[in-house]
Amino acid sequence: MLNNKNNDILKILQEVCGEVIKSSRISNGLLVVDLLAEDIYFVVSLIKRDERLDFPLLVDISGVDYLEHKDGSILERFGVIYIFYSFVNDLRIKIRAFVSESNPEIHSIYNEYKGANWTEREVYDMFGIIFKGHPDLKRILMPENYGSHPLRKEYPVKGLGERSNFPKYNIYEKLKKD
Amino acid sequence: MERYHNGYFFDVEDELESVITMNVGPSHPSTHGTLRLKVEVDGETIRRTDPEIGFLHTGFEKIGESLSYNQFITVTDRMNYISPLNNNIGFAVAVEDMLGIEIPKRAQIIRVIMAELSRIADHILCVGLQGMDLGAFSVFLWTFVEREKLYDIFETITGARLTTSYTRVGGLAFDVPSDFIDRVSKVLVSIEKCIGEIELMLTGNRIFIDRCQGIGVLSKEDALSYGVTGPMLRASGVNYDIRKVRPYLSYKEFDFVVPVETAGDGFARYLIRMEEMNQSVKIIKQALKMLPDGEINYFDKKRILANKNEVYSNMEALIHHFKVIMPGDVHGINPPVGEFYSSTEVPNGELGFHIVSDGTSKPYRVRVRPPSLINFQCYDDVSRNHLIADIPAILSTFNVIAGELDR
Repeated sequence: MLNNKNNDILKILQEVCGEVIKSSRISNGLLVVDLLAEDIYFVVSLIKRDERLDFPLLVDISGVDYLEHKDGSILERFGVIYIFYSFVNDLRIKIRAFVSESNPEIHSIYNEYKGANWTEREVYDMFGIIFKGHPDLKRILMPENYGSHPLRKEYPVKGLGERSNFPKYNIYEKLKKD
Repeated sequence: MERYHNGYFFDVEDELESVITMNVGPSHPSTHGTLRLKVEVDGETIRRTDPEIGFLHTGFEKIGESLSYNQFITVTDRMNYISPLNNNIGFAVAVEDMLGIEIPKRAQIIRVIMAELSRIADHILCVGLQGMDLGAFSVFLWTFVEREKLYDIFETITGARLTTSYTRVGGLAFDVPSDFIDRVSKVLVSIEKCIGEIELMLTGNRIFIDRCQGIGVLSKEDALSYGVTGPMLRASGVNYDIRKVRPYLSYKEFDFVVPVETAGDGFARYLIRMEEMNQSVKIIKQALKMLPDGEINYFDKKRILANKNEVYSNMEALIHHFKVIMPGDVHGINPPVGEFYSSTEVPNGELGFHIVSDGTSKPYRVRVRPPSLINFQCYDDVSRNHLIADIPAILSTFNVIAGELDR
């Protein structure tokens, strides 16, 4: 029953998007779709607006650093993972957008879902992925002058030491500029 | 001149004269935790709020990458420290989904009972704090008495009031004592009495209604767009409860209703929480009747922790214990390579775990979908054009837990 619905949705997506979808599968009742970063805005606005798809609830946005992961389906180093829920079809969809290490940029989906505001900021904070078109992209959990992005695999679990190690944050110069 | 900030345009010249910036927090009685609100006020009216969070950030997701699956359960205690049992159960359910195992019936029913008791403890505290923030101090004290009784039960069963760590992958840490049913039934009677008293004290209270009704209204469209879940979404008129949408444990077999209100204001959220407590009592009563005898752990010696008594007396059990505990590629719970998302309904909304596994004993990445963080995003919209005195009235209905907000 769930798999039938998943297949229907997948068929519609493949019809409309065509080449954009790199691979897709159904695992644990969850429809998973892989894409490259540049196509994300097109697909997200489609699944929100298309009446047959209709995914109004953004459940979560998160990031994964695939640096040490050995799996054939990985296309680039970073993955940004979107999960949506559809009330009409009673279905969850997971979209995995791959972001390259050399150009860590992806389009923000804040214009479609307001809930993307803080979750995108968190992905930026933790992985250093820049969301183009985000209205207020700044760190959310770590201090503003924090030098690195902690959830990247090269960052040590021990951390980089105490706060005195952070780069100096010259608040007076910033005030002068304003 | 126009200034663009946080998705909105502000006319700076108009407002520059009268707008002043005010701080609420990081340590303020009405924030119930460490979070800071930068509030721009024009006289008494709130024009804009910029919440600043992260004071309690402890890197749970990073820690998760270096702990085994059973060890991470102790970390989940510290997330939502008002209802830690729900987090324990949420993570255990996620890992069991990943391994594809179904735990014994007795363990499922005990988990349901503990989750609902914990939900009552969370809601009753939230309602009490809402009353206290609006001046009804006695309600707060009554709810604390009931919460204490619930925490006594948690302490007898799990050995701790807050850091419960009660679940294990594939079952539970301990079985419940023999007088469990009597004790829980006794507490349920006093909780039902307390819920009735709160209803008498607040639901028809003129002052309480005036401070809550029409305050902090979140429309249905906004609630969906912001991804809000839990009592806040249901107060805005959307029927979405993971216990009904994706039933986990034995929730399919229980007869309960998901309350929905349409007003979307503080009072609607209060009514939802009160009704959910009644429904939880109903679920626990059914669960106590159907609690079966039997095992509490899934039978798979290679992947599930052995009984501690056997580990001390039986050599085979000791070997199995080491197999599960030892780190490395060949030891431990080795789930299949892949990505899994699983979520449960905790008092604040949908608590999801997105686990990436590379086949070893430790998760490659654990993403926690925190309901508090995603619910709190809409605070700026909701509090706009309200008075300063409404800040505690709105904040207490969000039930933001700083440990879960910052992780």
